[in-house]
Amino acid sequence: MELFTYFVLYQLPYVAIPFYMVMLGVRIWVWLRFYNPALKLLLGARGSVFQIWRRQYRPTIHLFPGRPRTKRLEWVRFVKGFLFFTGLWKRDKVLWVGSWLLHFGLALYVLGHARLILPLGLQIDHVLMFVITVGCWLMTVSGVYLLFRRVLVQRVREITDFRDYLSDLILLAFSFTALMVALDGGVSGDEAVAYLIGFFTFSQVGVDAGAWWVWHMLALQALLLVMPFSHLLHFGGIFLSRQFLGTSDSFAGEFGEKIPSKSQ
Amino acid sequence: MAEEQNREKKYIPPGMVGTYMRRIGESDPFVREIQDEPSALRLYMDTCTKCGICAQECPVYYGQPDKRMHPVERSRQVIRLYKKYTTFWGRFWSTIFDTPDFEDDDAELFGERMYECLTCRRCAAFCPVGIDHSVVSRVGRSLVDLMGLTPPALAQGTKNSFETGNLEGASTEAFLDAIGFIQEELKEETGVDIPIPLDKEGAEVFFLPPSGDVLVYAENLMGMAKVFYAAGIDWTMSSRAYDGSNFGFTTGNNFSMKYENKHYVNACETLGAKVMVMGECGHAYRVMKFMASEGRWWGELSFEITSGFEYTAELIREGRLTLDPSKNAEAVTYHDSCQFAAGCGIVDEPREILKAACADFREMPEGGYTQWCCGGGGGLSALRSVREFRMHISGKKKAEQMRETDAKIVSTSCLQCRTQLKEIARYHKMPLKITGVHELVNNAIVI
Repeated sequence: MELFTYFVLYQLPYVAIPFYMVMLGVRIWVWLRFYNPALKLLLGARGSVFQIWRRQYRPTIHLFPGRPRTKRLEWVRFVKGFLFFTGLWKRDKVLWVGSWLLHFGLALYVLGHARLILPLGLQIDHVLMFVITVGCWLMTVSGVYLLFRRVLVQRVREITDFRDYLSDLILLAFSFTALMVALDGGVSGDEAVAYLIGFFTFSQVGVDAGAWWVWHMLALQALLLVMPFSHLLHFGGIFLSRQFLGTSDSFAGEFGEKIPSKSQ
Repeated sequence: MAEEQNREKKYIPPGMVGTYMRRIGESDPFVREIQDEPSALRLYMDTCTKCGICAQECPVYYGQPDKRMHPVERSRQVIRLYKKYTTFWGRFWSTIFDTPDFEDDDAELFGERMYECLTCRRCAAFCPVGIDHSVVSRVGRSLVDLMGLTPPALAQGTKNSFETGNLEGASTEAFLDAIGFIQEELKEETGVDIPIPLDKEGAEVFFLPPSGDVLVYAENLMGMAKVFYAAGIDWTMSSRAYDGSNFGFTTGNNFSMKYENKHYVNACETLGAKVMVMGECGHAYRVMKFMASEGRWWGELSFEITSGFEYTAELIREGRLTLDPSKNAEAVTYHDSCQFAAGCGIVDEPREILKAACADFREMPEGGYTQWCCGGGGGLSALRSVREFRMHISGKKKAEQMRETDAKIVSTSCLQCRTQLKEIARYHKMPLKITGVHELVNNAIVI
């Protein structure tokens, strides 16, 4: 086994994965602790964690707080916003195209990986391989598109710094190498399971999955290392900021009743 | 030379920024309840994707689309200080590299930039991640305030509130004179004795207008007095607390924000009123209803809190008021103030009132929850020093909208907006009259 492959498959993951888990845990803890100061007092507090959480006073930065709204409406708006990025669609269609396709591609990529760990049969395996390939194409093309947008649109370019470009490029490398692996025929379920067993038992099992797969694993681990310090972390914070604002209106792009342009 | 020396004084002693920054983030018992701001800042600095939507929706960036006016860039000024002094990596790197606290090492410039945000929350309404840059700007303003660099007009207003209980610094005698004058006006206009009761213990309603509605724009107070009279409400005002405004909220001074609020909470409790009706000031109403009351700053309050808009709209719905729209025959439009619309969700009530009180009500373009700020929000309309900025940059969009509307009267729900809109109309030579909402009720109500 080459030194590079050995490093990427059997050394780096033992650093990258725990690092990612710990840093993500720290981030979530910090956000929640600030959102709910009672968490700081957990050891000395009475009642369940849930009760302490419930009775805590929440931040006072709610948007449109006086509006009557039902829980159902709130959920409908949340789901619409979450699935279709409708808020973004209404404000910036250029960004929506890249953003929604990137996230949709990522969802396909994750979904398709079920083939590696579940015995689904050859036919479904082929379908999922196709799903992964489509997902990778979407991620790569939309990743390039968003990078171009970042460079070309003045209001985006002027606030972008080195770290933003770095995290975007790593995400792009991850997508592109995933696409190459998919076009190369992918990794078989047996190989993936053998690698995972080897990883968890600290034994080095040689996996002959091609050079692109090694590069893909490297990009994935780079992504894990960079994510807690980059804007990619919005995938977690976006849900808590909804709580801060107390509404999913902006998520869904709908702000109460429509006011006609000229009414009597 | 003198100017240079004066400028030098405004630099901050080395190390002091960190002390101030930590003080904002600490759990000081007095401001513990409002610690959500640095916490929100922490979430925001981790999750901003720098997509630029906030700039697209920001009235200031619309007026001058460059990096300095970008909401993210403004927030970055605060976040870098926050990181430097309150995070492990910030402290680590700052011990290795001796970075200045402020870019260009200029605290005064930092202060100016914090007052280039209107805190209108339009960014929060449209940000895909849900980031509210007004919260970050307010943390920046807290820092500016602790350094003693708050713009003099706002600092003076806050000082006046401490010393006299009202922003204008008017004495109780001046207030009583104004009330006497308003009562005479009411009598002269209607031929009926419409009282403005003062310090009446046990009254059902305690009415708290901003002092500007007593001392400057008396028509709003006259309108409210007629509403109470016509509906037969037992109401009172206080001769000790007659200014329902809040500059502490604007300047980021948490102590002042709470002090100003406590002042009228005490008055309402002393008078034993069941309802506190607040006048046309969005800042004061937001702090009272959604921060002090919901945050239980003063424990469980013995009274309800509502705004004049909700109160009057409810009376109209109940059929307890008769309004004659022909008294306001000219076309009227409505400008939503940021604090009432985005901060308190009050959008429908002023419209209900205006539709009942005016013969020809028309919507301002893009009105409602996500309206464009007048350009004087966040206390800017009180600053003569930034007038050009307000007229050409922050107020550019509103000036365009005012030109676009074919109304003759622009009605608004906040004193600050009113001042700014008046200046815009005058500066850009638009033949528009700017009024409060209850000023139009004052014209239309049938006694």
